[in-house]
Amino acid sequence: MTTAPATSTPQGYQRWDGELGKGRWTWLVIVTTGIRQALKNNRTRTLVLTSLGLIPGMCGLFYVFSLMETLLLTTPDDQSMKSLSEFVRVFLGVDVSGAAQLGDYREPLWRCAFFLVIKVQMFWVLIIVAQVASGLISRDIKARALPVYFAKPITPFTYMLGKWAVVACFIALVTLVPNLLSLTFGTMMTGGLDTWGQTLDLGCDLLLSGLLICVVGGAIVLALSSMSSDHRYVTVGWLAVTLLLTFGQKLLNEALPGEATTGWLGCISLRSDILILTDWLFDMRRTWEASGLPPEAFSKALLRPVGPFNATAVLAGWTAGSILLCYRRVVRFSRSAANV
Amino acid sequence: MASVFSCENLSKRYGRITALKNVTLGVDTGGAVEPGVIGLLGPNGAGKSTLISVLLGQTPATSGQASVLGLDIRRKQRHIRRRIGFVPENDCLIPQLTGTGYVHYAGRLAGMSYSDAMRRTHEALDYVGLGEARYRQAEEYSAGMRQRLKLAQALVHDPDLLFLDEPTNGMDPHGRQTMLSLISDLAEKGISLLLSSHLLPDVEKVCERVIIMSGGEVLSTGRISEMNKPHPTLYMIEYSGDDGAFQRQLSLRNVSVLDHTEGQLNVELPEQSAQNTILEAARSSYVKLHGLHPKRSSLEETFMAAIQGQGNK
Repeated sequence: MTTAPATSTPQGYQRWDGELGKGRWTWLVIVTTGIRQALKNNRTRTLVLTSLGLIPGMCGLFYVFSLMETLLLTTPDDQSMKSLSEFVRVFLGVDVSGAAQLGDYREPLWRCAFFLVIKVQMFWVLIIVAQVASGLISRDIKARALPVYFAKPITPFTYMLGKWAVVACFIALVTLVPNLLSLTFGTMMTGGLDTWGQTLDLGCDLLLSGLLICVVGGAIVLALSSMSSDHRYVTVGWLAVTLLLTFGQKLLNEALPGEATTGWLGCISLRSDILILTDWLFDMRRTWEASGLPPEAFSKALLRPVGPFNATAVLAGWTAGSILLCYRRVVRFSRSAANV
Repeated sequence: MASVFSCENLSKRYGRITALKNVTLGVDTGGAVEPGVIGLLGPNGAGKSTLISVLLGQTPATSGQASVLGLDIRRKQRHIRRRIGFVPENDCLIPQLTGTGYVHYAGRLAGMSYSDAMRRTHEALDYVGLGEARYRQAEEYSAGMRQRLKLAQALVHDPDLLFLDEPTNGMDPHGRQTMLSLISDLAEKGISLLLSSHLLPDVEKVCERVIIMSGGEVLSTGRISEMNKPHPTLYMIEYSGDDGAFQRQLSLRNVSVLDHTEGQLNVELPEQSAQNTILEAARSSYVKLHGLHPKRSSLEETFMAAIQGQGNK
């Protein structure tokens, strides 16, 4: 007995009687799609994984601190203690050789360590943003895809929020996530759950400084991305804005006396502004004063008499200007269906 | 049935350029354009895309009022967009997505849940004939496949109204045929379509009604069947017999011969003459008539007449 082969019959167009959502979370669709697309790139994956390499490094450092705390309590005159003190002085710029109870200096030490790590992470932010974010809007412009977005029930704000969140996620992956994980592991290795109370404030500060970088970096790069249909120009623009301003700031700092660069002149570079605000968030000055250590002991921390006002104003200006520019560009390109 | 869209004195200016000039549509048919496949005809720069953009809420109108599916375009933009689909003229492919990824993304942007969007994605891709190519990168698709992919993304959330901006652009004859068949099928399934094109045969083939635009103005609107009504004085005669005698008999009756080929004449009757004049001339010259067809104005003639009429103004 033979059976007839199974055939598929075209069903034709089928109407759908489901219900559409209200669209409050549509921006999350843009985020997940953006992240998935970005992670298809090998370089992006490598950058993210490399940045996560900071976690074991930081954990190792916290282990050294923990070891020093124990050594100082048991054998304060031990030679290995001196070696470890020297290591910390060279690495963090904090001289703890005169400290009697190192556990009291745990928070300042950790704050110093994270402050230096954030300085290093700024480089990762520079690269990952150039890699991931430069094409976020520019590729849509090049493909003339914006009219498709805005034929759906989404607003330019939703579109921008979704794209910004993609950048923010990647910035967080190379800054916030390694920092918070390091803090968690470090806390667990150092003194167990007892030390949570000491490091909770630091966790909040890390969160805020990470968000600051996400907001400012995300807004600026999105504005740049909306200004060109070629993502290579956007990358060049991003590197120019960040590196040239940093370079200019360095020149200015060297050319002018210290007092001259504590006001607006000290806030030209985005990197400086973010570090000034991080310094303020971490309250490094208070940390130093509370530690009782001499000023020279915190040689690598900022500790400049620069208030957060100028840096906040500059960063707020950059962010607001970028959001406005990006919004105008997105609205303009969303109307490009009209060939006028 | 509910109205598809209506406009009243709708204008759009870009600086000194007026893209739409007091466009009023549907007022003479009880306040709205009726559902079905509506053709939006006009030369390049006529304002077709601007009109669609304004109706979609992507471009704010400078003045005037309009509604789509009974919803005001200024106040109910998001509600309108939930019920419409749009196939833009340009490629508009979101980079680095497969066919499935693109249509699914469009469904999710429209507000569908993940699973609903995925199910509808496969249905829509099968429907437009991209089932085999669904997992290929959309950027690798041919021009015809891209047009069908755009149609699929517009259909994924099952809209009540589809805006199609030059949907057959860049397609080969077979692809065009397929696209026009899909459009006709969608209209049969109860979806209203506004088809913007400058390709008259496409519009003539699938549209019931047509709006002719030029220079930002609506020049003419109406049913294609009414526009193609028979001409009262122009006829095409098919016959066999003595050519010379037949033409002489026609000229005796003041019938002008416009065109003459073997066994076929195109003639124009004098005003207020009847077809009997031709029959009498045939009888008198002993020719045998095989056909007598009143000449119909084509959409192209109507279109050209409208454009020339605007030029003369």
